[in-house]
Amino acid sequence: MYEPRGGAILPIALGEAWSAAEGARGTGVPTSLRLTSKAAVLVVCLALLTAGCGCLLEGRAASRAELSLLAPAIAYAPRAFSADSRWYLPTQAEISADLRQLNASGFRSLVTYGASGSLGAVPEMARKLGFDGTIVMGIWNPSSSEEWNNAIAQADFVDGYCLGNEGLAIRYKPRSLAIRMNQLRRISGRPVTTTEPIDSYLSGPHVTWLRNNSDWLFPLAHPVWAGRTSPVEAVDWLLARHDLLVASTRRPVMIKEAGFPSDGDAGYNQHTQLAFFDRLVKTGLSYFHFEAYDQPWKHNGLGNTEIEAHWGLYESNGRPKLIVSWLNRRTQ
Amino acid sequence: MIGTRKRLIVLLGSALALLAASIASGSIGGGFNTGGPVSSVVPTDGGRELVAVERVGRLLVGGPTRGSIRWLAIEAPEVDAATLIVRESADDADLSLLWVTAPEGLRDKVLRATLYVSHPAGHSILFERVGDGWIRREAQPVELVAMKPDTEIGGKLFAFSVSGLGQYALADSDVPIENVVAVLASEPGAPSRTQGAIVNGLLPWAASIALLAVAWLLSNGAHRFPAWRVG
Repeated sequence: MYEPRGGAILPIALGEAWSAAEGARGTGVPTSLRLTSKAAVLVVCLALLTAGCGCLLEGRAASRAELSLLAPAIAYAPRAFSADSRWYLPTQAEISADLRQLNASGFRSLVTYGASGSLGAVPEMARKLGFDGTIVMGIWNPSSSEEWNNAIAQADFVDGYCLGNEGLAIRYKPRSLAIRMNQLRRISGRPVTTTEPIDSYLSGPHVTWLRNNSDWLFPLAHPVWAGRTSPVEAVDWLLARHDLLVASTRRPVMIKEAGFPSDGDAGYNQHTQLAFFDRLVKTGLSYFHFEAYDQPWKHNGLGNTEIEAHWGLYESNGRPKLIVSWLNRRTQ
Repeated sequence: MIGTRKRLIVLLGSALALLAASIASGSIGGGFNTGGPVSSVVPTDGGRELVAVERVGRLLVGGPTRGSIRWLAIEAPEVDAATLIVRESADDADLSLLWVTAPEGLRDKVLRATLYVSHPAGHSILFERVGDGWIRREAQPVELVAMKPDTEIGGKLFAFSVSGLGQYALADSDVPIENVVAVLASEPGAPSRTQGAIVNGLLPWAASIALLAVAWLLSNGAHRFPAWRVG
């Protein structure tokens, strides 16, 4: 059970034990009133009118497909992948080796990021290798015809698509992305969403756009970038946003990336990474572990902070970190 | 002009529509709280509200419309819906005492909860009563755009992860901790504030009967005094 972070217990003795009240659900309508037939008709009409208005107002929400996540789930970029100046797309054999390893560790669901070249066949390969949970296929560049065609060809193997990743109003315009999302929805028959940092779903210029155009809410949640550098603070930060997003939208939220680095700065190691996920799993949130493998190119090639190279649950050479044996124990 | 009988029917229909449409809002809505009155060291407005929470995924969520708590999210996977009583009182040391009372069927199934507080101070701290003591919970500031400004509270909120539903104390972070401790130490935690029951529809029932009586009187009058007759 998740135990919220607390400071020191104040030694204040209280006289009487806490006892919460009993209650009843909702507001009932008494049925014992004797109605004239006309009054009954009137009431029925009012009820139908009210219900009709409600359906009209909520029609859009009711038409949304909601994805459920079969845990554990992993955000997957191939170990051999490199998107810096030494652009390299892994072979199918390399991808198969990754997927076998992840599946053997207990992962049943995955999300991908791009669909170009060999990446365009990952969902089909994952299904054949035993991923029986939720597969969300990513399209990195919404205007790429290669990624588009590959993604549509995988429709039978995916549960939903994520068009774009953290690029709204930067790499692509909201209006053009919405058009592409609608096209993909229509052609594939699958739910379609996009991904932005979780705070963008709560405030900022794109709140309405994100909520209206996403078939399901699929934010990134990286407490480390918000300065929450301890596992406990990090989970509290994540919970605060996740729960508010659920409460204010009345929609379930699936976290596309929840992660904690295992190196790259003081205080980050495999133990803190494990502590983060150990705490996170007790919250009951739906999330993809970020990410499968360390990606050294994010630091070496792109010049990002070194933390960026150490989000993996496995090292870049495929060696499992502490968390993997913990996951194995949990899934067994 | 409509006849008296039709007027009576309309009145009855209106009364029933009122009954059906009434929302839980303290002692004048669709429920009646029989719990003890809210009082504190120095009682203020004694605000209390019935808050319906509904299931979304694994969470029960709801939003009180007044008071410091603006949103509630409760992880209780086995419960589909419930009505909570949220009460609040403040003392003159800038300390607000909060109670979130849950039906027994929910209270025992709560795995965790998050309270979202709108507080005028730049920062706030929350103490959760756990057993015989109080545990300090750290605030997580979070910004929210209100999509329905008339009914939702947006702006800067403070989120507190708590272990369950019960009693809390909310204070400005600049209030000396010893003051908070002193106030909480004197807080008796009277069970009358946390016990009680929600009885569905008691006041709307009474309102319906009162309206029926008025309609009956009007009807009688219409038949007795020709000058009242219309139509």
